[in-house]
Amino acid sequence: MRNLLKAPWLLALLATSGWCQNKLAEASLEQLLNTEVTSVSKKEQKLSRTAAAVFVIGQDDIRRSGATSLPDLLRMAPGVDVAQIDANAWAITIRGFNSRYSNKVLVLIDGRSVYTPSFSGVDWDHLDMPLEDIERIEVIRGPGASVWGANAVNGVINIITKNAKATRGGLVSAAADSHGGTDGLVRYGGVVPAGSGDGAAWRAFAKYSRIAGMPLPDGSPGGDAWSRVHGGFRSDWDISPYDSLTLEGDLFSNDSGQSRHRWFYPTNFDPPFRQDVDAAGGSLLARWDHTFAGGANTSLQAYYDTYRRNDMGEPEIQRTMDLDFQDHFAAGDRHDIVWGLGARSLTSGLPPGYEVALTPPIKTVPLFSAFFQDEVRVAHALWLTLGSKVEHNAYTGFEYEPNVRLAWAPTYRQTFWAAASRAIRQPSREETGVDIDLLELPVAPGLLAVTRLQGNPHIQSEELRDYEAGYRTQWTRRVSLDLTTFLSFYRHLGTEETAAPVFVPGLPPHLDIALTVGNKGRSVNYGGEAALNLSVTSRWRISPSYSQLHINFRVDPSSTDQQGFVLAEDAPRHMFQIRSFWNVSRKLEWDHTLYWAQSLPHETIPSHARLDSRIAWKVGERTEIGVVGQNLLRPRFREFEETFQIAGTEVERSVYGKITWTF
Amino acid sequence: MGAAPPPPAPAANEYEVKAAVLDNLAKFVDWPPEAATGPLGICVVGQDPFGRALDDVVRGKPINGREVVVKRFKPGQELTGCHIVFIGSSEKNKLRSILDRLDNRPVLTVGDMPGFCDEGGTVSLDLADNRVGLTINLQAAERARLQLSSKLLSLATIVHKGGHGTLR
Repeated sequence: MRNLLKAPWLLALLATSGWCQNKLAEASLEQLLNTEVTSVSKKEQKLSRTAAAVFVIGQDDIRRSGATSLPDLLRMAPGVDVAQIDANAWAITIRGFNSRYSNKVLVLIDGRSVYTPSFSGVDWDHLDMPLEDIERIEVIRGPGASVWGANAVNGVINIITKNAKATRGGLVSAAADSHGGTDGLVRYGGVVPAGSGDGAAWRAFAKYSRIAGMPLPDGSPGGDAWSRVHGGFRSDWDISPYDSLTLEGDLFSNDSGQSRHRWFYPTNFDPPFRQDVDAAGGSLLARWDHTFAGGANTSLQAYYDTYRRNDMGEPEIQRTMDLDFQDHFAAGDRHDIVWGLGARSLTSGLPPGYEVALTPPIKTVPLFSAFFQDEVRVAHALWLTLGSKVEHNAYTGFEYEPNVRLAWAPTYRQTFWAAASRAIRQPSREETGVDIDLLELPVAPGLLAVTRLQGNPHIQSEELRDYEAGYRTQWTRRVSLDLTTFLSFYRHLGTEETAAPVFVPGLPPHLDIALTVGNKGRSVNYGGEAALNLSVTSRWRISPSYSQLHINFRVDPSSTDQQGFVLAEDAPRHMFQIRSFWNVSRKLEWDHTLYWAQSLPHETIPSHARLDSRIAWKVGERTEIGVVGQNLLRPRFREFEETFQIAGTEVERSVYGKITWTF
Repeated sequence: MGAAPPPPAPAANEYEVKAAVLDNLAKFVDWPPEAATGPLGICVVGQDPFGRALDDVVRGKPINGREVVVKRFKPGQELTGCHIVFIGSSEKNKLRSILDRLDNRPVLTVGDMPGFCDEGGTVSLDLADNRVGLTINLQAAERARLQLSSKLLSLATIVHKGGHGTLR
């Protein structure tokens, strides 16, 4: 519930269109039985008040996608740009600015942020929960900052795991693929005390995966094979009819590697070499939900999250402690109000003595936040949502992120909506305090040119002012359509500002070229997304979607950044996909997914298509056997360019088999 | 603005009406002593077709002095604190096992999938002529030890179905 409450406009997913609620509540049974009704599907009700571009990936979509990793699952949401860099790194964003460290999309798992603010990005290889345990993934395109706060600039990915009550009993699965990868999962759930209806439901899992390495463009091994071990639990306990308590936690350990270059800027003297990457971490979250008699509800949540990661030879540590309070109630007939308070402590660092230096090496910063949002029913079938988040962070002080949203549902079958929002990405520790050599290059005998990047303690937050509009309709029970368009004005985007080279006579003598993190980028982006859902027959459903994105990046006249546009504009302008789900019989499913992305405008990544196919048989009630082919169209292809020193490898055609047994 | 006639009211949403019916049913049912006190739980199993309509309709309206609480359960979950259980059509294939687990418990089972009473459910909300109709399975009500008021019975079609052929 909480995750839905976090987005009051998503509350609409639970809401009906609200005709004469009061009248019905007061009516006698005779009157009710004489009231004429229209029959509408849940889908229409769910979406009628949602004034945002939302795509929900459900458990059925997850199961039938045949995907084995979270990044591959996200491909199915329209407008989400997923590019695999190597076997253990991905670049994932929504509506542009993709990178290994995409910094404008916030990712949460059961309300716990897995966006790392010290470098602004997500380590996708840390997120390896059993896909069977995910209840749904809500993908919100466009700003969600007025509720979720800083860094929810271009979108929010909200991963919600199943309540422990829904995962009683056991599940064992084993998979093996054509490149030598293997995967095993054991999960068991029950109730304490056993056999009682009112006890605490729990589940625990252990998972091991070995993921095969992928080749470099020249065909040689990429050194990016990896293995991971992950264990975790979740417990849900209804203490009373009004109170529930959730406790969940996990521990993981990854052992991987990558092909990387010595320097950030590619040169002919810098062939890739293999580097170990390992990471370990864990989290613990507790949440208490209380429902008041009148339907109002409130929740209190605390979590602790930590990891240690040896990436590019640098041991990085992160610790987050977070406390979050939220309250939701109806005020009168017309107002639906959600407000909340949050406090977070973020510790991050790199021990001194490494290539990348942070000043100070270890630092703890606080983050305080408050938000308020009111959804007002201004007229019949017309809802206005007003709200803002106010935050105080250690780098830029107070920030406010307001939004206004309007939803109009002239009939049960269609909704028009529009929204205007402001969102910010707060500077990372890295941008404020980094010192790193990007490139050392001999320019003359005995003379090195050293290009360094320095943090800027006075950097501002990146800012977005965003305007969106959308239309959703359920034409018939079999056809639904969702259209969205957006116009986004960014300013203070990150740049690298160069100073004139300085000759340093020390030992060895060198030319010092200092780059400083700047804020002089601007961009005007526009585009849209369209998603269609079509039940062709009762056994065959297809879901095509298309998205378009235009990025126009400029720097201020005072900026010396000549290259910023290359990275900033590197997004496919057109993306298309079609998913097909066919129930061949009660026991047999045959599903296909085709993705296509246009070439990146300034890079060497050509347009590429990807086809996955899955066949699954149910053998009896308890066993499922699946065979999935991935990337069937070509032996191998490259999805993303070299980035942050990672050489990048190529995605290969593969086939895997999986057996799942439940008991 | 002032003089314009109000737009014609659309017909009510099916599930808003059904939510109100569900809430109303409680007024006409007497539960056995062990279930006759404390908050009255209206539970929804499986996909919830009501959305917030159900929460809205029960809000701030105690029934026979008992507070009404709406709870939602996933299929397979243990149903606790429930006096009325609505089983959504998403649970069509699991209906028997859900009813089996509730058998002999003082719970009024309600559904709107075809054949609900035939399978042993107590109250079926049927849609006929764009209106919600009630079908009541008296045998199921007796097994659950529920007393249904004569007024309720007068508004409903009565059937006697033992359900799923179990020997009792």
